[in-house]
Amino acid sequence: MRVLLVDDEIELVSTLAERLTLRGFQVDWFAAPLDALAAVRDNPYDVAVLDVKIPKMGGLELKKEMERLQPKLRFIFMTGHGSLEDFEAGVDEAGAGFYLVKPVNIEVLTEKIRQLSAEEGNHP
Amino acid sequence: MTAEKDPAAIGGLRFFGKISASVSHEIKNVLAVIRESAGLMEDLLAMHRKGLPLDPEKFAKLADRVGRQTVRADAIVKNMNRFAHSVDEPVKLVEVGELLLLITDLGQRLASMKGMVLATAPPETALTVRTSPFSLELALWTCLEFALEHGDENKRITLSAKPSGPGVEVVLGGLAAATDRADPDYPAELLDAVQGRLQTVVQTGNGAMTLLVPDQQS
Repeated sequence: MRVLLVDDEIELVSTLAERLTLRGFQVDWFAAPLDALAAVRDNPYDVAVLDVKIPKMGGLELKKEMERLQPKLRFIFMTGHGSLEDFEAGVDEAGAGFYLVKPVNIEVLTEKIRQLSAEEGNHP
Repeated sequence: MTAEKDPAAIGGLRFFGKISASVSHEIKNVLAVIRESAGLMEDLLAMHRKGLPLDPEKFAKLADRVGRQTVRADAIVKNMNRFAHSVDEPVKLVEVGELLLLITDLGQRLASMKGMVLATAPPETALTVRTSPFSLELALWTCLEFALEHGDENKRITLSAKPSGPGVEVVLGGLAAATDRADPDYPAELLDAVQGRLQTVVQTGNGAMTLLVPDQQS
């Protein structure tokens, strides 16, 4: 399963990527949304895990852009408590997927990635 | 005017809330990094128990990361503490360079979210003014929010200060040249109310916002 991680906290996103890699996922991580978009343009992913508050382009806007490139891509959002209200306000508009509150539980994240990847028609 | 209708009182509460939310978000990020670093150590130890070799250098790097993140958290909490104490006294002697650094630190995440750079050019010598620290912070923050939406092509807002008669002049530079009070986003009501409290004057134009802050002993 191929997973894309995006969060502007480099030490957080790189460590999460390492932990997911140890659990058998193929993971690419990015701190900048435009770099992540370029990766989605060039590579098929099963699940994208996005921070809600990403500088320059919010997580929900990034999701919309990624969906244009890979309509079958599934999403998990990570949010701090402070951004939960903002996130919920944008859910209807963006059709957002599952979300986890930081700091995330790695086993819950792992299970959710597997679950979304296994959903019918998700594999490229 | 009651507090419920006073734009400066309402703006002050909102400002306090925004800073508290931003600081809690920052602390949350620090905690998340520490938690994942500890989690990765646990993962590596679990693999070691199953017979895989343990890399001491990897552990040293993770321990260093946790140490650096605690230093980061300490700085965040110190700033929040200083900010919280700015409401202790209605008027006091304010060291303007330190206040600019505080506002710059508190505004870094907001600037980053907007793709802007925020910097301070502190005065070369200590510059003090007797004023309301919280009202000055509120005025500066209100100007900063406006400036971050109206930066020029360099996307860099710089805060600086210099003496001006018996008071100080604080300048936010880096705005688009045409930006002025006529802009529909200009926070006129709040800034006018804060100006009344500080007895200060806010000027906008020529790529900058300038706050003329009088010494309240004068």
